This record gives sequence, C-alpha cells and structure tokens, in this order.
Amino acid sequence: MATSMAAALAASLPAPQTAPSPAAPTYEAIPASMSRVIDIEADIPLTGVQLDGMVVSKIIKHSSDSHAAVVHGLLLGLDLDGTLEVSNSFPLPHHSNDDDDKSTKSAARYQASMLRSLKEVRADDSVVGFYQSTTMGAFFSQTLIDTQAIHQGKLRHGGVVIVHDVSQTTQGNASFRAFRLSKAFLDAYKRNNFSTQSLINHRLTFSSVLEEVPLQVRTNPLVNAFLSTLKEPRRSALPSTHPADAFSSALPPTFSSLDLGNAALTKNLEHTIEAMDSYKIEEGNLAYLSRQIAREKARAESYTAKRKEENVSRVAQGLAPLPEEDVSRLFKIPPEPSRLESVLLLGQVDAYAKALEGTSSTNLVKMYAARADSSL
Amino acid sequence: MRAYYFDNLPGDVRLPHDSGRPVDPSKLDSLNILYWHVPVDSEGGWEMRIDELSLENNFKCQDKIDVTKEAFGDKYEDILKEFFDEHLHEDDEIRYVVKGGGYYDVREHPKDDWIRVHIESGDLIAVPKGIYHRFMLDEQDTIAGLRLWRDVPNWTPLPRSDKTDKNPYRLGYLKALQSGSRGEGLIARVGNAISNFVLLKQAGDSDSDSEESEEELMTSDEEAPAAKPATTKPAMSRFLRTGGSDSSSSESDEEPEESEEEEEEEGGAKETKKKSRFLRSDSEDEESDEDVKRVVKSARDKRLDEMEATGKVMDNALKINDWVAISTEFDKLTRMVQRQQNMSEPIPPFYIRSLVSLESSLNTALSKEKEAKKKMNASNARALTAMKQKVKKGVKEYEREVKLFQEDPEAFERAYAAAPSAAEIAASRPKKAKKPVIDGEDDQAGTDEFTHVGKGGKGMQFSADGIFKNLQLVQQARGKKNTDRADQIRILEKLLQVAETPYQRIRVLLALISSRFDYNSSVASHMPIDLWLSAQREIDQLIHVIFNDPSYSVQETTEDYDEFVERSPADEKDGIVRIRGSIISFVDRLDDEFTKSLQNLDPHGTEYVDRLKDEKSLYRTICRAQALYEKTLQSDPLARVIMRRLEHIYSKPDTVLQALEAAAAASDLSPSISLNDNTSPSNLIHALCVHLYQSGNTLLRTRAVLSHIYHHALQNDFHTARDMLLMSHLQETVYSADVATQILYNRSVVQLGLCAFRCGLIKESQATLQDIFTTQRVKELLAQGVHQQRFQTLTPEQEKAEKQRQLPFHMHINTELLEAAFLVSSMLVEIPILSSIDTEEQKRKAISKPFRRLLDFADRQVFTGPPESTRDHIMQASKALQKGQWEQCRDLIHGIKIWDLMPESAAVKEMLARRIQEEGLRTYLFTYAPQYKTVSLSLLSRTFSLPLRSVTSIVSKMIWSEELLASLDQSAGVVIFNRVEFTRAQQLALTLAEKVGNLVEQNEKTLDFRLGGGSGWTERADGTKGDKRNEQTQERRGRGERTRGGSGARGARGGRGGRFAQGLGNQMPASQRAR
Repeated sequence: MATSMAAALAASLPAPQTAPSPAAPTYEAIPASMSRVIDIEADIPLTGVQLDGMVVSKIIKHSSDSHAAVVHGLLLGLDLDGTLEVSNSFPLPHHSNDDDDKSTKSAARYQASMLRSLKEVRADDSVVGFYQSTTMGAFFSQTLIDTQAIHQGKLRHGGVVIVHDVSQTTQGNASFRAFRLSKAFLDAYKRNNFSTQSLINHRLTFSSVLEEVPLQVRTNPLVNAFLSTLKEPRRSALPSTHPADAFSSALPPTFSSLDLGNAALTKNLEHTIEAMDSYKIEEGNLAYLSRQIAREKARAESYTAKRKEENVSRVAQGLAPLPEEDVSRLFKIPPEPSRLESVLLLGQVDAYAKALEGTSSTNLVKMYAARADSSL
Repeated sequence: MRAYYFDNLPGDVRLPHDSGRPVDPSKLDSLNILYWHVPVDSEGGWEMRIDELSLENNFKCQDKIDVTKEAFGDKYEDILKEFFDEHLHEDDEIRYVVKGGGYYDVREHPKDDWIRVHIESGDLIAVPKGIYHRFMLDEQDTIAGLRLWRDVPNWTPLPRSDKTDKNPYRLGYLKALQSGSRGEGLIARVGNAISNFVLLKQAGDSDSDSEESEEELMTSDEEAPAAKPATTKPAMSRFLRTGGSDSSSSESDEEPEESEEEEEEEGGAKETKKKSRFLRSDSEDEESDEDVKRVVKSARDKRLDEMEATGKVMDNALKINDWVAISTEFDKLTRMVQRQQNMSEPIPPFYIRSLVSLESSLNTALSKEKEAKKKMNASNARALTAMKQKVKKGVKEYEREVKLFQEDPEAFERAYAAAPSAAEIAASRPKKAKKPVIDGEDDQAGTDEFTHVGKGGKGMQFSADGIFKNLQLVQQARGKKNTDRADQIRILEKLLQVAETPYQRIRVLLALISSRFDYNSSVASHMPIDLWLSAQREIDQLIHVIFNDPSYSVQETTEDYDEFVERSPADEKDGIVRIRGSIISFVDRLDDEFTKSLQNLDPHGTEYVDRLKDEKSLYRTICRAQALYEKTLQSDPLARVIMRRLEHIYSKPDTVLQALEAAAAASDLSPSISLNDNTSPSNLIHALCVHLYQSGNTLLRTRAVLSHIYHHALQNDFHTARDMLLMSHLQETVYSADVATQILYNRSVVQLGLCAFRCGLIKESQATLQDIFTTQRVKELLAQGVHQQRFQTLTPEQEKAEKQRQLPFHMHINTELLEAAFLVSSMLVEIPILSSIDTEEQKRKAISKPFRRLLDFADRQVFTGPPESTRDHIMQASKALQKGQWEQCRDLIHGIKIWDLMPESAAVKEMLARRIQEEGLRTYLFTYAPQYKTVSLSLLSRTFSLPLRSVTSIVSKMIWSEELLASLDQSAGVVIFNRVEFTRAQQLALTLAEKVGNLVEQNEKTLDFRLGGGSGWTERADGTKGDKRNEQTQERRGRGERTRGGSGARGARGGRGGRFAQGLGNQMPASQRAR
C-alpha cells in the first residue's frame, strides 16, 4: 500500500519541465528587476514555505472530517524568489486495505482528472508537494518517505511535505510543519543502502532524515479584517438586556484550554508503548538477522580456512592444490538488513515522547495554576 | 590410458618408448586386461565409485600405496628394478592411480611382444593373474593410488622362468585366452569352487599325514596341483586362500563348513571327535590347517626345497661376496619363514642353520672389510650393513632356537621332524579333545614353538633364572593381535610363584597386574570380577613388598636398565633399586574398572550388592597406596590417590563412611589421615580436602572443593557449603572444566539445594534447584541416565562416551525426591506471588517455569482424579493453597511417599507444614485484600492456626516490604487495607517506565559488548549454557527487585550493578533482599 501509493502519485505527476519551446529558441533579456522572479532553472534555493489561509483551513477540515487516522492531499502553488507559495490544495481519496492495484490506479486517475479540471478553471495546477495529517507528531512513516523521495526527484525544488498534527489542533493550537528530505538521506535512499555502515557514513539519525523548512501562514487582508471583527465584542442588537449579555462576541470566551486532556495523555502513553514495542520487535529481527549473517560468515570463513589448510598439506604431499572455490556460491550470506525501519520507529518514539513531554509540562503548569487558585 | 607396442629400443625405461603402433582396446580386452576410468575429483567421489566397482567385481581388499623417491629412499631404484623384471602373479594385479603415472608392459599372446599400457591419474586397471608383465613409472617418477585384491593381499612376483611357464595360474590364463571366456580366468565363481573342492578333497584324503598351509601352496605349488585340470586352479587356490585367511567374507566362510559336513559323513568316530574339538575352537587357522592337511601332498617338503634353493643362491653369492643378492634372498627366506610361522608351524632348522652360518660369515666379512676398505663398492657395503641388522634381528627373534641349534644341531633337526607328528598325536588323542579350548591351543602353541616342552602339555618349565626372559617374552607379545591373554596371565602367575627376590617379585607383579588389566581389550565391557579381585590382591601385595622394603622403588621414569639382569640394592649407587612402573595408575585403573563393572550390573540385583561389598577392599587398597606414597613422599601420586579416596567417601552417609574406614584401619598399612575415635567423618573429609587444596593440581583442587561442598550439604551445613561455593567462584569457570568435573559440580549444587530444603530455606532451595530443572535434562546433567534426544540422534561414539560417564547406581541422587523438593519449594514461593499480581503482563513472568508449566497444565485438566504421582500431589496442593485451604494442602504434601527417602523426614514434614501455614496466610491476604477493608488478626490466627505473634510478624513484614498496602491497628487488633486502584494512565505510565528501563539496560549491554568491557560474560559466553545462565541470573535479579515492591532506588540498577550481579551469581539477589 505504502509504496504503491507513492508510485501512483509519481505516475500522475507531470514530467519535469524541460525546455519551454523547442521550436523558437528566441530569448529576450530578462530585466534586472525581474531576474529574481523568473527562475526557470530553479536556481534560487527554497528558504521558506508560505501557506495560504485557505489551504490551512482546507487541510484542517479534511483532517478533522476524515475517519482515517492519516489523510493525504496535494499542494498546489508556485515558488517565487526562494519562497514556496502554496495557494491551493485538494484532498486525495483514502483507501483502506482495498485491492492494492485498483486503489492506486483509481487514485492516480482521480489526481489526474482533478489537475485537469483545475487547469480548465484556470486555477493553480502545478504540484509543489503534499500534506499529511498525523497524531502526536509521529509522522515518520515509510509512505511519507517514499512519496517525498519520489517528489524530490520529479518536482521543482523537490517539493515539500506539510505535516498537520490533528491532536495539537484539537487542543487549540493548529500545528503545521514543512519538511523535505535531507541530502544525506536522499543519497542513502538512492543507493538503497541502509546498513549500519551507511548510516554512520551519512550521519543519519531519525532527526536528520528530514529537514524542516520555515513555514508561515498568509491570509489576505480581507480575511484578516474579518477575523479581527470576530474577536471584537459587539453590542447586542437587543436594547434591554443584562449588562453581562450586552456584549456578545462571535468567539465566546472558552475554558477548554484549562482541560488537562487526560484522554489524550492515555492515548499518548499507549502510542508510545506501542511504538517502543514495535521498535523492540524490529531490533529483535535485526539481531536475529545479524546473528544469521555472522553465523554464515563464520561458516564460510572456516570453510576457506579448511580448504587452505588442506591445500597446504596437499602441496606438501606433492599433490595439486584444490581450487579455491567461490565461497559466495557455496554459502548464501544474506545481505545486511536495512535499518531504515528501525530509524523511522525511533523517530516515532522520539516524536511521541516529545508530544508527551509537551502535554505533560503544560498540564503541570495548569495544575500548579489550579493549586495556586485553591490555596487562596 | 593409452596402449601401444613397446619399441624395444634401449634407453631410459621411464620414457614412453612409443613404437607408433597403437594397440586397440579390444586387444587388451582379449588379453583379459580390464580397465575402468574413474576421474579423480577433490570431493572424494572417486572413492565411492571405486567402492562400487569393488563391490561389482568382488575386490575385497584395498590399500593405499605411494611410490616416491622420498618414501623408499635408497631402496627406491632396487624396488623399481624388481618391478621391471618380467614376472607373473598368482592373483590379479588391480591398481588404481590417483596421482602420477606408470607403464604396464604386458606380453601379447601368442606373439610375445611387449604392449605398453600407460596408466595415469583416474585409471583403474586389472592385470589378470598368470600374465607376464612388468611395471615401470613414467617420467613423473611417482605414482600414488590404491591396490585392490580379490582376496587376501598377495603381490609376490614370480620371475619368468621355465617353472613359471608351468605355473597353474599361467596355464589357467592361457586356457582362458583360448576359450575366450574372459571372466573365467579372472573371476572365480563360487559354485565352481565348491564342486572343485570335492574333487580335491577326495584326492587329499589319501594321505592325511602331511601338514600344509595354503601359503606354501602358493609359493611352491609347481607340480602338486598340476595334475588337476587347469581350469580348476584359480578356484581351488582361491578357496584355499580364503580358508586360511582371516577374511570373513560370507562365501569363504561357507566353504569350510561345507567341507566339515562332508568330513563328518565320511569319517569315522575318530573324525567326529576331532571335529567336535574344532567346533569348540574358534581359531580359523586351525580349521584351515585341518582342511589343508587332507588336501595337499607333502608340500612342506616342496617349500623346504625352495628354501634350500634360496639358501644355495645365498651360498653362491656369499662366495663372490655379493651382499646385494644375499640381502634380497635373505628377505625372501625370512618372508617364507614368517609365513610358515603364521601358520604356527615350527621353524625349519634350515632357516636357523643358514641364520647361524650367515652370522658367522657376516662377522668374517665385516672383519675383512675393516682391513681392506676399498675392496667393496658402495651398494655392496650398504647391503652388508643392512644384512648385519637383519641377521641380528633374526637371531634375536629366534634366540632360543639358535641356542639350541648351536648346542646340538642334529638333535634340533630331529626335534623338528618329530614335532608335526607329535602335534598329530596330540590332536588325535580323545582326552585332548575334551579339554577346554584354551588348553588345547596352549598345547598346540607349546608344541609348536618350544621344542623343549613336554608332550603332556604341562606348560613351560619355569625357574627363577628364566623369569626375566619369560617376562620379556610376555612383554613382547603384549598388545599383539593373536596373543592369548589368558595364557599370558597364567604364565605370569606361575612366574610369580617361582619368583624369589623382591626385585623379581616386583617385576612379575607389575607385569601381571598390567596383563590382568589388558585382559579386556574393549572399552565398553568391564573386567571379569575374579580377575579384578586378583588384581586388587596383587596390587596389595605389590604395595606390601615395596612398603616393607624401602630399598626398592617403583617409578614412572627411571634410568635405562637391563631387563634381563637381576638387580639388588647392593649393586645400585644409592642403594635403591628403581623399577619402571606406576602403582598410582594401577590404583586408578582398579577404581575405574570397579566403577565400570557397577555400571554394567543391574543395580536392582543381588549381584550389584555383592559387588558393592568389594568397595571395602578397594578402599583399603587405596588407603594402603596412600600410606605408601606418604612414606615415599611422592606428592603428585599422593594427591591423586587421596582424590580417589575422597571420591569414595564424600557422598556417603556417616555410617557407611565409618564402615569403610574400619575396613581400611584393619589393614596393616594405614595412611596418616584416617578416622579414629577423636575425629568425626567430616573432620576426615576436611583433612583430605585440605591436603588436596595444598597440592598444586588445579583439577584436583576443584574436585576436592566440590566434594567438600557436597559433603557439607549432606551434613545439612547449608551456609558453609554455600559460602564455599560462592567463594570458589566455580560457577564462572566450571563451563570450561571437563565433563566429570561438571557432573560433580552439578551434583554438589543439587545437593546444596536439597540441603537448603531440609533446612527450611525454601527460597534458596528453589533458586538453587531452578537452574538444573529449567534445562529439563536433570538426569543427563547428573549423569544418572541418558537424555532422550528428540531432534537429533547421538552418534554411537557420543552414546558410548555418555554411557561411560554414568554414575553407578548407589551414587545417584534420587531425582524424584529432587523434583518433589523443587516443586514444593516452587509452590511455596510462587503461589503467594501469583495471587499478589493482577496484571496479565506480570503474570506471564514466571519465577519457576517448570512449576508454572505444570500448574497451567493442571488448570486445563477437566477432571482431576485422586493424586497418583508426586507431581499430582503437588499440583493439587498448589490449587488448595491458592484457595487458602492450607490444611488440605498440607495433607496432600504430607501424602507424598518420597519424603521417606529423605533423612529426618519427620522434621522436614513438620517444617513444610509450618511453611504451608505461613504461605497460606500470605496467599489469603494477597487474594482477599481487595475485598476487605479490615481483617481481624485473631481471625487470621485462628484460620491458619498460627500464633498471633507470628501472624502479626508476617503481616508487618508484608507491609514493610510494600507487598501489602495496609496498616496495622494494634489497639483494635486488625489490619486496615488501604488499597489504591491505579488509573489507566498510571498503569500505562508504570508499564512505560519498565519498558524504558529494559531498553536502557539493553543498550548498556550492547554498548558494553561493543566496547569489549563486558569481559565478565564474554569470557564465559563460550556456549549456550553461559547465555542461559545469564538469562537466569537476570531473571532472579528481576525477582529480587519485585520483592522490594518495585519502588525506591531504581538508580542502583545500572549497567555496572548489572554486571556485578552476573559475576556473582546468586549472591547478588540475596544481598539485595537483605537490603
């Protein structure tokens, strides 16, 4: 599911833009003032991501409406002078455990037709990345990595992935973060080599798999104005009311921020334990595999040593030495296991732990506050 | 393989000499030369192929041959020369070449041209018998391969001469060529052989007074069988050869039997008697002798003629001083004589005569040589010295005969002539026939070998003077294949009777004891008991002699001395006669044989008990040996003998030990350390062990410490035993010890566990016995039975080794009792814990896995009948304990029969009852605490019929160790429970904390391993056992933690602390508990 999904996404993406018009290569001099704006070869590196207010609300809506834990969608927009402006987005259908082949195909079809329709209405239709919802900040997954790796090869500037944490949003602070894959990781990924040595060489840990890109949300002035009016208390339309009710606000004051959110805590703990368990299992698998490898290697070595010894004695006897056969043919030494999975799991554990730390520290503050109040 | 005609040009014969005329394979085929090609490969597949071919073609023997210059040295060229002389064999010459190459030149028939067959690596060639041929190496100048034979190996070359033209094998070959039936000449058919035999036998019956062996027939059968049709030759000779050989192929066995049957039909009463004698004798040699006797005419004379011919050649060569020729001829002669001797025929006087004359002429030649050195060429000189050696050897070998001959040549010859007839008479005497086989053989041997032995068969005449010579004879025969060991023992016994001086007696005793031990060659079976007893007596005697006469000493290493000379203290430099030998190894062997015989006896029979009674005398012998070594101040054998002594007593109860000591004290020699009125048995053991601790031998020290621990445990001195075990640090090193020591270690540990159980230290007992029971191979680890291998089968060698390690039955620790102790202590430890924990995850962590497994199994049972086995009792008791029905539990435990085997069983039962009450109370509190707010102490005291004080103390202890969340209300006399329910989040947090703890521990372990700092276990992690141990200590550590309630200082549990705990084994949990 994971990889096939990524493959489907990749299939539907437009091919990287090549030379604009092969027929008439007539260039006009780009005015100096525009040189930073027109960037055909994507020379200017990305320094930030700018998220449109509409995209924010669309993502939040999509994430909170969906029953599935994780939702995906595509980001559309344009990069301008080092800033990736995400101006639109659309959700991708969620397929749960369907027939793999069918679901990927239909996803690809859906994506293609969506892009076509957008083009027809002259909306932005260039894909600049995708978004994904998550809980408790643990967004590390094979799917994300795979999809992003494909994007990195096909999109301008490699695209970004925006991660939206649903659990944070329910607590009142919407969390959006933009990431792309680090160079070291991409290198290792291309070689498809995640052995211990390679991890050491690339200095890869879970924290260096992705690099974060600064993200800012931009709303247009009109929306800003509207929002500010929402905050402003208004005088009630009814003349004779109680002074307490006289002013009403569109956003009534709420005490939900004082909620300790114990349910979330339990869930967080559960997730942490789960992640640790799967990490342990993965570790066990790795250990088993490496033991197997060591055993096979030892066998092969002893075989060659024995053969050498035999040859020495044969030479001493005046017999022709036996050929030193190819050991790899006789003994199947399994390849060193990929440690990517365990790196990702560690990332998840880390994220859960951080989320746990975050919530518990705020809760602690809240409890102190409550105590201070009660002591009065 | 390549075949072509030889070009008959002069030049190095190792060159190809290719005339350019190739020979068709069919030509070779017509010459009856068989050929296969089996490529030599590295995997050894060719060996299998050769074996297949051998099976198909009936090649029964094979050996390896490697002809290289290095291997043969000087003789190399001579041997090749011999190969290259045109000759024929009386057997097919079958050779397989692995390496190198050579040429077989065979005579074409009838043109008599040389055909050269070049054989190289991978060629298997069979040159038929009777073909003239020669052999030479090719330019590689080396050949290595296999020689195969259809029957017994025989490669005597018969050089081409007029005689060989008439050789039956030659004729047979020619006939086969004419008839074109190629198999006939080569492959003898069994049916043919049998039918031919009948013919021969009839012919042979006519004169039965000649004695003959088949080997002689082979070398000198020019005319004897010539009268018979040529085709029968191969078959007949083949039969004869098989009959005489030790080869045990089925068909060759059949034939002699058949012949006997026929004999029976034809022969009269005399024949039958004779036959009955043969039936009893199992020596095949004799059988064949008898057969052949009837078959062949006076071939002995023929053979003698041949010998004489050889002798003549030698004489001639002597005249011209050609020592090379003499040397080869002498070799031939010796071979013939040897063959004759193998048939236990007397040595012909001719040989002796030529030996003597050769010796004298040699001496003259040597003296001449000294005078005029240049006269002789190099090869001749070499041959001369070689001859000197050979003759010397020959003279030595036939010393007796030579002496006799020198004294009176004529009498010697007469005696020889008389010998066969004498043997004949002896054989035909009915009285002889009834004698046991051994006697019969003895006589035969006597008459054959020593002409001076009387015909009555009374044996050799022994006298004090001849002792050393006889001893020497026996020594030489020792270990040889055909030596009759019983006979040797008898000779030695007689020698002992006539031995006069202490020196003689010591020498004879040394030889006699070792030959007694030699009597049984196989490792598996034990020595016959009567032999053992006499050996024991003789060792006693030996010790006695040496002890009483300090001027003699037996040592393993001495200076060389002449074996034939009587020695006395007066002659020696320092007045001490040192004799080569080792008493300690005799004692060791005696002890081992005793153990072996016990292993082989049925432990439930009276025989076993009878045998056990011999332990007393064995123990006495050991004590005497100890006394001897104490006197002679030999520390190393002394330590060994003390170890032997210790091994006999360490596991014995006091009464048995005292009985053994009493037996030892009764002897005239007593060691310095012994049991007397003012020492107790444990003091004795202690003294012995201390002596061993002071010895330099680490193995003995280890074993002594283990025996000491065992003994302490047996004496219910748990703490001393445990401290000794922990202080010795044996648990870290025992994995590298030898198997016997490991077994002793296991025994000691198990005994320690039993001791803890008897002392009422239930937890310690459980922890000690745990290790061995989790392996589920208790019997195997204690060497009290062989483990049933479920997944792999043991090789026979392993099985044999395993069997040899088994302890004799009386040393066994009762495993059923052991299991009962373990399970009961597990029950007492596990049941309260089981009821105290409430989460599933915790439940999965069993302290005693074997117990938990049984309990789960018992839980699954739908019906539970009345308990039958010990396990049933304990399982039902556990269930009762879980329910708080301590009385039922107690009754069930008391109902176990096996307790009666435990010393002080009443006290143990009482202790168990008390424990059950206490643990019952704990279980009750754990189980019902959530249900009550308060419980009255007096009610508890009544329910469990425990005094109020102990109830209070138990409850307080539980509160203190945070097992029970409660408080005591002294004034009201109640326990107030204040139980707190954890919320889900709290539970999860606890789980998480534990998991993180595990993770950290794992990480530190890995890190330690990576950094190589974990020498504590990397050293020991030499096998799975070590790993398993680590796990177990870890588990135990975990439990130590749990009893502390999982609260408080977890910080102490870092990687460092972890390492210590593992190094110290079970000391750590104890100390943790104490904290």
